[in-house]
Amino acid sequence: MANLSQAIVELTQTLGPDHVLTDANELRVYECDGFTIARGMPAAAVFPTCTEQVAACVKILAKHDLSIVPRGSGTGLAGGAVVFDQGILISTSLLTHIESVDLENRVAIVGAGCRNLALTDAIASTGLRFSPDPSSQRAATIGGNAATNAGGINTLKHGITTNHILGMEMVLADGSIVQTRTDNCYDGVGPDLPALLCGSEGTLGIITRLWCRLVADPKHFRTVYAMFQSNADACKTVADVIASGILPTSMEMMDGAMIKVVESAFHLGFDTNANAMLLIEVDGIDSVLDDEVDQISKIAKSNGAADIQHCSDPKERMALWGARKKAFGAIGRISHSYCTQDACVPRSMLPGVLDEVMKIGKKFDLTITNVFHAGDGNIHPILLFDEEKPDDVRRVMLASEAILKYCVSVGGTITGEHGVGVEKLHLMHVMFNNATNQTFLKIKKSFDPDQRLNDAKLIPSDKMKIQLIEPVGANTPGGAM
Amino acid sequence: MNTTQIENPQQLADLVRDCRAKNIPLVDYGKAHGDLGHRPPQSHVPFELQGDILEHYQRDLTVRTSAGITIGRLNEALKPTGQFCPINADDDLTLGEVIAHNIYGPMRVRYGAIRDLLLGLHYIDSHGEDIHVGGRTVKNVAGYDITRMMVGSLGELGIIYEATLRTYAIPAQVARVELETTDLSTLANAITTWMITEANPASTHLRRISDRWQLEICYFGQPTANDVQVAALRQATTGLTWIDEKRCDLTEQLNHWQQLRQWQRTSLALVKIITPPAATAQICTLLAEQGLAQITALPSHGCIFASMTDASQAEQLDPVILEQLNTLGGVRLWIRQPVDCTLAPFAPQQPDWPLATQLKRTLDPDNLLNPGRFLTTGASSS
Ligand SMILES: Cc1cc2nc3c(=O)[nH]c(=O)nc-3n(C[C@H](O)[C@H](O)[C@H](O)COP(=O)(O)OP(=O)(O)OC[C@H]3O[C@@H](n4cnc5c(N)ncnc54)[C@H](O)[C@@H]3O)c2cc1C
Repeated sequence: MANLSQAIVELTQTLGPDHVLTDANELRVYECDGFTIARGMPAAAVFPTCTEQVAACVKILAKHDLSIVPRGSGTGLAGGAVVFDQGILISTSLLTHIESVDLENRVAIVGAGCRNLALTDAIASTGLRFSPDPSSQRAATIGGNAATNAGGINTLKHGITTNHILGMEMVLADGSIVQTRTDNCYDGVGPDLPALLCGSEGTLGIITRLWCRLVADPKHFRTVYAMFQSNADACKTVADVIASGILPTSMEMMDGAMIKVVESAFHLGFDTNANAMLLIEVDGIDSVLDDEVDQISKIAKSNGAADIQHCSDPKERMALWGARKKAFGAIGRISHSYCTQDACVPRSMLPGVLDEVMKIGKKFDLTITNVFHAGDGNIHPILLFDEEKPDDVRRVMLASEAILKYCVSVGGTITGEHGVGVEKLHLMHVMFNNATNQTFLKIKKSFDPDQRLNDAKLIPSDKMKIQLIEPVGANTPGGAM
Repeated sequence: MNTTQIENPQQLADLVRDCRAKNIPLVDYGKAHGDLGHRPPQSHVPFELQGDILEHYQRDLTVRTSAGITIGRLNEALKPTGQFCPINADDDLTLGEVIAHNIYGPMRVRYGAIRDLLLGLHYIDSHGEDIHVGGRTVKNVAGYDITRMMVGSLGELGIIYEATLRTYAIPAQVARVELETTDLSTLANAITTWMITEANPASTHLRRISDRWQLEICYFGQPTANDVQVAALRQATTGLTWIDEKRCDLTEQLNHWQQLRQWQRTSLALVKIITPPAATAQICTLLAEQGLAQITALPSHGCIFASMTDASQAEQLDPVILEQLNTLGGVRLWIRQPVDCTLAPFAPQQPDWPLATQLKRTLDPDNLLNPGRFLTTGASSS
């Protein structure tokens, strides 16, 4: 039987009063993450400062039968860090330490709350870097990156978070502390548990420490941008570049509406009459980069690119990528609220998929704009709406579902990098057969028999139902509006 | 006992269900690693998967293939399209074996290990159910990442029937440099230094030759780029003697590595050691001081293979290796133990093995798949 007030007393005794938040006004910032459609107030939020404190909190909450939601910086875009059943939020925001940077083994050990960019900055002078670079890297934690298996802009060549996490320490649902792999080893024996835990969205345990693989920070770049008259031409260019065997570091695409938004925010001189733009980067040995740029330019030209520019000047490059990374933020200029979708398709399918996305937008009477990791086939249709209007919300959810189902039908997936969270729960049966969904649930229950940790996220739960498509009211267990 | 040849997933699912009903374990230990782990139970059904490429999505640089395909066949089929799958494994090994045993080689530096190449899996679970995870996209975070979890699972959690992998364009040229030294103490530092300069290698491979160490570094790329990288390496090889430099194509390089691995196939006692990369030098030096002649390592990833002559040498050296690993970190496994040797196949115990055992209990509750090979669950099948 849940005993919230006694749990709060014990949590306060364990962490100190400054590290336990119960005031409803102060808790409001934790009501949602970057997917603002899903909202729910936690009964309290706690801020442990070390793994042992996380473990102590979990034990107290288990004793009092309260549910737990781990949270990093709350930049997630799938409602994964939102509490729906009056549970307790465990924040990793004070686990920020960079414990060690070992250059010979090329490994950094960090606390789960260390921000992605903080690690990048701390090792900037070493010639090495932590490669995952989600656009949210300024705010997002490395624990959150691992929990969502985040991607980013240079994923195309350098891989996603799971490719760069060697091992981790985590607190399980019973409060025990386990370590998977590591000792700075690049491998272990037996099933790859770090891989299972990456992307598990806080449903199997709370990550407290990570062993991050560091790789060479490329020194030579060329950045190319090309303007097109249609999305299809730009998408065809992406598919053709991939098929040619060239592996750029990144290939990002913006559609016409997005070009206008970014240009009005950052004044980079983009042609606002263009209907699509590709921002492409290659890195590697300086002497061959110009050749690669030539080949890419030829492919772009053959697909109708009107204006192709390239640069190797670091300042210009920073401005271009800065604008790309802040593109989401700039959408506020044109819409009150927006929902960023996240699907991934085989790259050769991109032209057709973008067409279909626009058709779906029309059908549901929604404006959709696009800025996405085109080289990975990872689309991010951004659905513009007004959060205050229930009908807008409903149409956004329906259009999202239609887009994702279409992507699955052409060999794609319902999420390329943001995770399932609560937002895509109802599509897990579209993506996976029953036996596979049952296997996911078995794994969940084997780690967390009482389904206490972030239940009803990532995989449908047989304990709690969260229904977003037909919302039943804010902060209602079983509803999530 | 006759080995059952499996030609389609339905046949495999039926076999699993049949074995389950009769409580007879199914055993597939693979070829190169057939002696790894505790011995299989006396009574069991051995089986082998057949297979070929199912679909090559050439424009997406991905391939869907049966797990029964051999690595030789896979790359032979991809070659005419100008693509390859960068797996360092002998031509006769199956893809299923490579995944189940997490087999990788020198190319891991550039292309990653099998966990980095895998995009999706279709496997049959211990109940005979079809499980499809991952897919054919290069990014996918829907559901738990069982695809990668199965890497290294030694055939104990499910029987991999089909896999989807990344492919890459065949590099225009391979540049190979052979360096030599008698002292490995500066090796870890040198590798990091090369990595952050234009000398950044695509592969590293260390081997013991008489009383010296030979370090092979390769670059994969356009000839002009390779020239730049080789020149950068030449400038940064203090303490190492430059003994040879060669240009060749990828096929020749893959064959060269395969030849270098031959002794591992015939060794009577083969140990694999996983340690932090920087500890490679210390452990290799120790093994050489103990008189071992055949030692090879992937120094950038801390993976070492060494051959011993007989049971008494293995039993004498094992505690020495374990003592080092207890200090430096890491694990050792006997890929092949000499006859009459009773060393623990895997040691020292790692902190996450109980969690892996729990997973085995969950996914194979009746202990049907390669029972007892690595994870001992207590459940028994006859
Ligand atoms: C502007 C913007 C741009 C973005 N760009 C990208 C992008 O390019 N690529 C990309 O992949 N994502 C992107 N995202 C999504 C998001 O930033 C990432 O998913 C990020 O990894 C989340 O980190 P976080 O610390 O904010 O985690 P949170 O949002 O706090 O949590 C995300 C999920 O992880 C769980 N979790 C967090 N920390 C832990 C932990 N220590 N242990 C266990 N579970 C934990 C939570 O319970 C939740 O389920 C973007 C988001 C925004 C707002």
